Amino acid sequence: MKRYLILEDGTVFPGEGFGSSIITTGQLVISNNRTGIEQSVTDPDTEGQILAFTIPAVGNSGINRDFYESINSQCKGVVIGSSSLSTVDRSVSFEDWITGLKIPGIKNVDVRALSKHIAEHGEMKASIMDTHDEHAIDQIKALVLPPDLVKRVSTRQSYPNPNMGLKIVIVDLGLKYSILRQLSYRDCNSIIVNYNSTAEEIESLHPDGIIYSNGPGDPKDLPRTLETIKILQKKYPLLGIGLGNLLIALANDCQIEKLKEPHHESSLAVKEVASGKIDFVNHNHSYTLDQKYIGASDFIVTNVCVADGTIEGIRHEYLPIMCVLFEPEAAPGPTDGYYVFDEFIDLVESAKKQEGARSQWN
Amino acid sequence: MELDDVHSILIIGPISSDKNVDLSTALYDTVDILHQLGYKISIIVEDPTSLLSSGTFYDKIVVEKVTGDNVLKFIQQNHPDAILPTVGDRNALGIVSSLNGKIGGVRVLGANFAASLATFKRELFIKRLTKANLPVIKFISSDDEKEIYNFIRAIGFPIIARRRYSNRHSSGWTNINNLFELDNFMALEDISDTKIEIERSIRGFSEYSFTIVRDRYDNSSLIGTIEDIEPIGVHHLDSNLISPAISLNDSKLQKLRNYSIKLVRSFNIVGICTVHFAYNHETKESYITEFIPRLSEETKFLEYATSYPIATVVAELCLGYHLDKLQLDAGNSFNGATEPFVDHLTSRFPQWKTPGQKYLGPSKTSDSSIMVNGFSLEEVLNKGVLNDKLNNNFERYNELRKLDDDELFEKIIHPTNWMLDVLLEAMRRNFEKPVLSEITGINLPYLAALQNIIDNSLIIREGEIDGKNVERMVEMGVKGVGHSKLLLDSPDIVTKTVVKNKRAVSVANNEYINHNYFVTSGISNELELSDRKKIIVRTPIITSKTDIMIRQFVLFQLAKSIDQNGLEPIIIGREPWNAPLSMRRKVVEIDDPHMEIKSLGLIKNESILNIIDLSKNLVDDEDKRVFRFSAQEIKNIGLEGDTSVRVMVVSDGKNYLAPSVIYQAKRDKHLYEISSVNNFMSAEDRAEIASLITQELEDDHHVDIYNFEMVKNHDHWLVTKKYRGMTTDIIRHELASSVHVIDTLVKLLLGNKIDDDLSLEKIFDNFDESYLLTIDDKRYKLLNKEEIQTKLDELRKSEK
Amino acid sequence: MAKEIIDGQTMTRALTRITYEIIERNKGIEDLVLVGIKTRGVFVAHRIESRLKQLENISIPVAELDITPYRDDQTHDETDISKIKAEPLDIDINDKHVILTDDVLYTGRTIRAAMDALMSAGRPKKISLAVLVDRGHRELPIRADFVGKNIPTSQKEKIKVSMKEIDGEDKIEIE
Repeated sequence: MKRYLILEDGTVFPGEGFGSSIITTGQLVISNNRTGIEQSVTDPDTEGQILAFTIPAVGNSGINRDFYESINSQCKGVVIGSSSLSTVDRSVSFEDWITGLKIPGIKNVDVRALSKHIAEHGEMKASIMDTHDEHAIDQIKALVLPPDLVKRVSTRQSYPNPNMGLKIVIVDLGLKYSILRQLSYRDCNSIIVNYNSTAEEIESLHPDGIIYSNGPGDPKDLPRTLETIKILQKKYPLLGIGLGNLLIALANDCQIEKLKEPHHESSLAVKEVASGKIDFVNHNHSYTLDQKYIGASDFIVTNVCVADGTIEGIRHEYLPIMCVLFEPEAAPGPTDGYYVFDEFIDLVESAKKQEGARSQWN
Repeated sequence: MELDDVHSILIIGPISSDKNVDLSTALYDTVDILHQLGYKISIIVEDPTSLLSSGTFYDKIVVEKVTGDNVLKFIQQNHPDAILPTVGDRNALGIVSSLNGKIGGVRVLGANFAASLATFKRELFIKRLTKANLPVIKFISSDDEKEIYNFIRAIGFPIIARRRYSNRHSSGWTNINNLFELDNFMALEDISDTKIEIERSIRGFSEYSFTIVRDRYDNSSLIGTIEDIEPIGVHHLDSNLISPAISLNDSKLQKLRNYSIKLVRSFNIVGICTVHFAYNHETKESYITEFIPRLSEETKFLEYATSYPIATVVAELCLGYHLDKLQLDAGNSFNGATEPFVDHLTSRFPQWKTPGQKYLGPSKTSDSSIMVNGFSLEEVLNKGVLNDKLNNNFERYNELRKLDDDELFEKIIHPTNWMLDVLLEAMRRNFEKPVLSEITGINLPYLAALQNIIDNSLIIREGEIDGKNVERMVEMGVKGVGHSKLLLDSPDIVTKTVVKNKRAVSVANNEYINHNYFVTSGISNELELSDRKKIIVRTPIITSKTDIMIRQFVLFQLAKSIDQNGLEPIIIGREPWNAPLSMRRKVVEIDDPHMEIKSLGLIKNESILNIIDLSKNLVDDEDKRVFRFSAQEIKNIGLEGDTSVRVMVVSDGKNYLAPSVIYQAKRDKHLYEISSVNNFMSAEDRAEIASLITQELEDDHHVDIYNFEMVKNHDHWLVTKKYRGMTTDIIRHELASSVHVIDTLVKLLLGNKIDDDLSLEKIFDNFDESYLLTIDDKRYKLLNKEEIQTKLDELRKSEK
Repeated sequence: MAKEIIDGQTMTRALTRITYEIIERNKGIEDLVLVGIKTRGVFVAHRIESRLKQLENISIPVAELDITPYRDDQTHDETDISKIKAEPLDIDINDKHVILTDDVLYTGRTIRAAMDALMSAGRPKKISLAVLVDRGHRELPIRADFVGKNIPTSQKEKIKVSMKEIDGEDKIEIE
């Protein structure tokens, strides 16, 4: 069935519908990920988004159930160029999978033209519809995207990811399971808590370190989380990833800004400032840190994007706080960034040693 | 930080063999950037015409057999600081591995001894990879039965086995799937000193290759991935290839990427390396089967698919540049630290010179290849391997239709280059896809794509195209409907034939511009042209290596000349042309497998000054602007002689120049040819030849190129052959003549004139200082004036 | 046979981490001075220096200290430390915070000799110690402030540190 992807500015892209036939609206995001459609579609970061994938022959590699980044799918729609009707590992086909998830999809779209349009005009709202008349465009323009994205994806109740090592509390702003996979691999005894948990609630868990996870939306919509960080950062080692990084920066009087060209690409080069080492890692962020404020703060820049010079990682000079804007857990993308978790573990362990005696809880 | 102890470099050039990959563009790019960066470059090469340039980049060009001894001799005499084997194909790595310990402090750039040697020595390869904890196929070479049976018990069937004789030759590999076959193999006559080699059989595994670049500071980047449609068992270069590898999911892709980087690191390869994998999607086993630490067919394919300037980057990495701080030319910086993201598919499918079915196996049989681009599997298949214009698929269809099911099944079991056509026919007869996939080892998505083609397209079915299916058909790249009026005139937003850039949209390297386009489907065009007037060059499909080289050369010279004369060169062909990097930003290249561009009306007719067509047969010779470039025989009196000359002439319709004359002498069963003998011709010869040309051109009043063959008969010259257009002599003429024939031609096409009443000296003007002597069409020597004079005197003395 | 226990990447990361810790524990790095113990300690010092420069855009002076007879991979009979005469340092260490760097921390005797040499060259405000590897078996009450990697070893084993600057590649082997 012929359907249309209509952008907020009235631009129309024709295609063929698949998956759910409902009309859907969301923030349109162009993903240049090479692989890992399963990961992207189930990534809580994509809450409220319509994802447009620019890779060809989507779904050829099959759908891997081990790659889910959350229990449910999060995105509002998918846009693709060509898809494969069968998979190399004989698993369910991409289109059937999307249909099963009840997500609306549109294929045979000129995604090249679409991504060029977005690169030129910036990220915007879009809708997948059956017609493309004036009325449809007005509807999209009128729609206000809800600001409570994190609330919708964060866990309501705390839950553990038990193991025998360091005790890490993860503040769930839209946590990807692969972060937990990396912590499990390092024997961390983790507890995942709601994004609005208070400092007392977190302290009562007696963590060795705290991670502020990745997540969707604008960090300025999360004032309570910001206040909690201000209290906790003086007492515990922190790791901020993605949205978590932005929040930690804001909590220290730094500013953030929207990227002119957002980073949604599973393999972009990042340079470690200290050693000059180049790693390829997964990026999924539309905001970055404002250089001026970071320069004046107690943060040092530890990582930068090689392509456009964007700050990709910071570290506090005196407090045990480290942050990355990229996704060190990969999923999808090269695994070059795993070391960030090792560094965080080192940071936590050295902070423990600094305290002298071991914690009373051990 | 460059290597500060390297100033002079010896490049190990390619050997002249039709089996070799044509790396002439890569070689040109390599030398171009080294020259711009200020290095002193020498090259040892067998056929100097493969250099694509008149040698201005080089300090020394040594024309010799490219062997270890000759390289060693050069090193001892000239003491270069380093040697560079990456553009010399397989032969160069063999030379490097043989030089171990013999060249003192001379650096080997790009590939070191150990890496080179491991590409030849299976045992070393396995040892090194096992040590680095990389997956290799278990292998044994032994004459001890107990050891052999222990090994087989440990790895199980299926295996492949062969005998290696003491003279270092070996039998071919035999497939062994069960005890019976094993008994048969072991029962064969046992010759003393024979070792039996056995390895785990990976027939039917999917094949992938990953190409990595790495700098001296251990930064690596994955430039591209390729997958073979045909499984292991069919030679990689006889397979249909797709890039990027779309059948690897994230964990498989990252696993193979990590293996590739680990391998490159464990051999400490600085430069480039392509790693081949066998992957079994059922058992998830993977093995490294081979690695290639140099520029190759794969890197050429990837450079074309991704537009990443591989050859230039590799040259700089070898010299110690940082991956993220490279230069495209002196002053133009380039960030190489990117894993190129392509949003389109590129397919390379092999070509055979002769028609008919070819059985495919582990040895390469194809002669060349063609590459196409598209946004879906269906599109690249329809434009490439199922493109009737290229592969006569309709004829194949008719032939296969006649077979009964058993005969067809036979074709499924024994793979030929008709495999996809066979599968199409099998699916039309409703053979089950999972069974077909199991037998052929071709993964299901390809069969699903073929099914989609059968269901939706009219490629070889009777029928009509109408508004209902035409859009779908265009998306699938079906021939002949691409420029359908139905779509071009539609007021609705529809998918139609458009032209897209080969560069993908990504955050990385937005400033790296090039103008490589392909005709595909979509809703908007990306073709951007300048205001300059245009000359379009149309190129045909070519299958032999020699002709490919000639095309590379001619296109390069044409594009250069068109650009230098203030016009915009547009090169259009069914298959792409990969311009040298220095030209890539100035020339517009469009791949147009169905020749649709003209109907799209994207290039304004009035902006086109001329159309230079390189094909043998013209489609639109009524258009006055079309200039036929390839040679047509006008006259051939069938007379041969022991002494003759070949003269290339450019004419403006009234006057002409003859800047290059090749002297040819048959003596004692050998054929000697000397380029640009202009400077050694007697006044009588010049006058006589000139008057013959004047006579021959009496009735021709257009700008054109002519090639004459004249035989010396009783002390006089006799025109035996006359061609209009460019013959294959062009490289030799062009390299030899200081008056560039191609450039002169372009100027004449633009309306320039040759002066009236030129003297004979001016007509035959040639300022060359070194001269090419060719013996029997395969041995080359570069001689100076004195040497050539001696040789000429000797040949002339024996003239009959 | 030598067995690689730390590869180039891990070594690079360890040096980066030491650098972060130096920044973290020194409010303001202006009065820092790096003194590397020859041979590989000097490379360690330079690598930390280049990282500090990249991160904080400040150049820290680096000096070399030669106390070859005390290297722990040589047989150390009871040499009289007082007889060792270190070459004079070419930088001023008075009132500076000196970070002494070496590749391997073993018995502690090398470090002691180095400290003696430093004291005779001036009066630093503070001396800290940064090492790439701590392998245990201390014979003196010396502890490193910054450790790249703790590697438990037996006394029979040997630790071999290779660094790009002199050995062509980065790795640590045990034999």
